Amino acid sequence: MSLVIKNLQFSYGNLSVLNKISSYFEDSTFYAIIGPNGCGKSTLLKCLYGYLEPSSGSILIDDKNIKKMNHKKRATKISYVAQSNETGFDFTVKDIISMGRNPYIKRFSSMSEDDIYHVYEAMDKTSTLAFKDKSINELSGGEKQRAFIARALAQDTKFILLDEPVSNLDINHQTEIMSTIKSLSTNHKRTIICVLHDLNLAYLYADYVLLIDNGKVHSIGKPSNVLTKENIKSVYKTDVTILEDKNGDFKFIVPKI
Amino acid sequence: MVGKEKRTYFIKYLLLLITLIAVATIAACLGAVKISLYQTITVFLSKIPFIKQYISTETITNTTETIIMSLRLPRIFMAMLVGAGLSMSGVVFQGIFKNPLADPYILGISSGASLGAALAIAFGSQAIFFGFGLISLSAFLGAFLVMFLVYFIAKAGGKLVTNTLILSGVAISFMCSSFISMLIIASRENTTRIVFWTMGSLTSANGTKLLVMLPIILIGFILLLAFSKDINILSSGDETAVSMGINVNKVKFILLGICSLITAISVAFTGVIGFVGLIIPHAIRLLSGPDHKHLLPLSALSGAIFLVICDTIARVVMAPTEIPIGAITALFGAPFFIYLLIKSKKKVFI
Repeated sequence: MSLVIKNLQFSYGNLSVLNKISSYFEDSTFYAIIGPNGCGKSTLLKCLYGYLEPSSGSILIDDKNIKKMNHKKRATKISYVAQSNETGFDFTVKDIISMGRNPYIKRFSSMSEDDIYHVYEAMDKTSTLAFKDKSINELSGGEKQRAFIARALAQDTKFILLDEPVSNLDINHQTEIMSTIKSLSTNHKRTIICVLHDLNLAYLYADYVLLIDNGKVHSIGKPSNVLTKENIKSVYKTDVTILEDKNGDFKFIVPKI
Repeated sequence: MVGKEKRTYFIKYLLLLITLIAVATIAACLGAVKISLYQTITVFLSKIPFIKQYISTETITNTTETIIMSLRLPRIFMAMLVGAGLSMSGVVFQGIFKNPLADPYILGISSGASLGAALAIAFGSQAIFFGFGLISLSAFLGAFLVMFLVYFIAKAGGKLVTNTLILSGVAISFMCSSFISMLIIASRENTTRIVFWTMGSLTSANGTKLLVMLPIILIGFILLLAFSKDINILSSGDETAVSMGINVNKVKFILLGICSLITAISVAFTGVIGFVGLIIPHAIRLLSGPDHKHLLPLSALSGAIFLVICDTIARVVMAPTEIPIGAITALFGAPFFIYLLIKSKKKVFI
């Protein structure tokens, strides 16, 4: 299954946000989308899953334009974990995760055995089984985030989009969640497209990095090729030092202050 | 686990249904003319096919039968329909707006209806069209005009933005209230009638009105129930709902349309009966959880029971003077709801 973006353009009124973005997303791969605040990362994600309609260009899944799919059909291909998730009512974790099965369930019918299987599998993969009967509002930040990832997983889509999934978590929960997400691409054949702010997390987890600047793709490639001093200076206007360990397989980006 | 859950819901529905029938039967006994429970039940049973041949109505006078069948029952059924309609609309409005203060009147439907009714009262026409008074028709028209105006304003930016919807509803509401105030000053002799209308009353219930309301409430209920999963998911926010395959704009438009129609017809026939549509959904959510698949029918049943009780109190307590039902719903409902709020540790809204 392939995801292709061709000449994607989007603008809020007169303000152009995405300017002719083209890219290709391979199977079972972890993509990190990075770039400065307001560069259009989140807007790109919202176009990809159909929340925003691009002003021109196309998004193709297996050569089919997602514009031509209805909402439910599209939701069987792409799922999305928002940056801040509203919880509203006092649903249990299991209720929340079960909502991910919505695209597969007809009106007036309830979940089939297959649906329930997917829900439990998603809970298992994200270690949310232990608190499945708790109210979503009683969970900690990290547990909540795992539940929302489980919901996207229960949706059983090839592509999972995440908008800054770990931005307000401590280092322990950051690694836990990022590793969970990573395992989805390595062990479960999902393609992950994840907006990240932390360049070091992108380094650690991503197979490919898409660096966006001002609504355009600045560069795309392996983390070590994209996250260079020069690129960072040109996009973020910040001088950085890149520390390397002896073997050269671990890098750490530190701003010069 | 799943089986147990199903049984719990079955018991809840059964209990509410029995309560509804019991409350309706007792309500039919009470009033200016006291009718015994035995007589009331006999009259009821004599109207049911197959059973009626075994029922002897010798002891029942024609007057008794007329009081029950023509005066009290239409009112009781009207209370049921309006109570159920306002409660399920309240559930949906709260679900869509994710606002604990949302109720069926939040979009200004009630003030539009009040203005329509006030105009009809002030210009004093007693004309009857197709069995409905001019006041009801004018109220319905007012409700509809406000509905379209509010949608039109909120839709102006392209997408249906819920906050704009609420705010334009509030603005239009205040505007209608100003007009009503001016009407009251301008036509002092009608002040009492206008004020009483806005406090709600089921006095004018009759068969024709029931026939109009029944299909709207029934079809509305089935449609809302068909969207119960969507309403659950909408509580996660528009962005997430779209990613899970919900056509958010279309669904919101349909749901608001159905609920506005239910509310408009209820207000047009019975005036502004407050509190039911606000409190019943909260109470049921506290007692039975937020899943709209059950929240909708349980609220509809409870709203029906609640309004039959309130209407009975309204006409019995100070008989032959009637207390406006709008005053009763809050007077008796508020303490019960506060008790629930304190007793239940659950949070209704986050």
